[in-house]
Amino acid sequence: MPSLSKRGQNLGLLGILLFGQLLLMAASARDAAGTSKLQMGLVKISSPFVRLSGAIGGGLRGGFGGLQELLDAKSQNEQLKKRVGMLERDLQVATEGKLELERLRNLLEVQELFEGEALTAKVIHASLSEHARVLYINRGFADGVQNDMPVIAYGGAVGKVLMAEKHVSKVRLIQDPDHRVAARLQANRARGILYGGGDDPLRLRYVPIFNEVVPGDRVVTSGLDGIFPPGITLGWILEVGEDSQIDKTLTVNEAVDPTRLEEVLVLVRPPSGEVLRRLDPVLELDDAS
Amino acid sequence: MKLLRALALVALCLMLQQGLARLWPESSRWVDLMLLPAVGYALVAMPRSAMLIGCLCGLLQDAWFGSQLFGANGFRKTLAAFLVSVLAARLDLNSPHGRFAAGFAAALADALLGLGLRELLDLERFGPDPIAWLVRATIAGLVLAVILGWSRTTLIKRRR
Repeated sequence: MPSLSKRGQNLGLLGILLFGQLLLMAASARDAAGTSKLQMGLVKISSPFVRLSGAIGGGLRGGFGGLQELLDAKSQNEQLKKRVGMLERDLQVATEGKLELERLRNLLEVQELFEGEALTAKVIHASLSEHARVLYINRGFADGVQNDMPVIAYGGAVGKVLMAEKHVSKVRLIQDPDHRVAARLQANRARGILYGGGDDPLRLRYVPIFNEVVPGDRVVTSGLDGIFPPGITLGWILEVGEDSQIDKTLTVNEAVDPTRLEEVLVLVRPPSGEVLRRLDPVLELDDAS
Repeated sequence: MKLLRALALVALCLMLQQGLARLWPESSRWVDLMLLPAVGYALVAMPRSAMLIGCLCGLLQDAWFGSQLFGANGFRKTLAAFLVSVLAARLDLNSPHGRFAAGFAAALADALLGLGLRELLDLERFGPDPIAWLVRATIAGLVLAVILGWSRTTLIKRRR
């Protein structure tokens, strides 16, 4: 049997690899279970390295943080000549603790407002590139997290669970360019679809042209996508764009800044519509009338 | 042994990329360390090793950093590794300038392939981000020029 030349072998391997990955992309576009298993398999295999790098990164950050504190304390000592370094560090720790307590209290407040079941999770990794905006949380299917569960934080919606591993889950943020959320304007109830913009601001599309919209109007989830319960804040109208003949596209300022997220809530069992109606002042008014 | 070394290199790059992302979440926009093993192997090893390493790096990148189609980064990095292999077989890239050019070109090719794939698959379209592309390409080129310069395995295999 004639053997293939090296060039032929290389081209053959290239073809196989590219074709295989095209099949993976096609399967992934159809949300085939196999691709998410393969993806999670890769995550599982590589997670020890990532955990190690996380620990090193955390240590480095801690080291840099400690150095910064030391420098701060020194300069303050020089300026004020009163404060002691240890006291300053204690104050820093106390401030951090207070801030964390405040964040957790806010989160608890949100959790209590919902009658559904919510799970608190810590953000362990975030990746905000031009093409993807995702974060990882320290809860997985062992804790009850499943794919497509909504994730919120104090202030509004964060994203949805893209994949749940045993003790870790990947969350696609609403800012992700491939993310869409069924939304509505709280003031006039006009519906639209919120598009993630990556580096650009969020855009609310397909709002019928006859609706009056002004900058500052609040945009909330409509619940029609079957993922987010209705009434969760997504952001505020920043700019009303040029109208087409039938609909408007609006620029939206996000309610939650993903770069500052440290804790989030996963809505394991979203509340029913009736419960949410109480959380939505406009719907409450409708009910009263 | 060679396989273990390659896997260790990929794991190291993943760790560095993740560690960097932990310190600075937007780092993956400016630094693409997962491209480096693919290009490095394309410069010093056989094209098939480079393509397989590129494929693995891309799939890991999809799993950890991507939210779009699984396999898109793998596709880009496999093709980028192949293109650099083809160039390395024809040109002498065994110098700091050559390695810088290879890394720079591979990062640009990777970005362009990404843009092309999104167009082809009718995904959400972006305007090109030339500043991020240039930064990524420069960093890739510099790292390859320096790291491979230090390594003992800088001899490019003569291919037919």
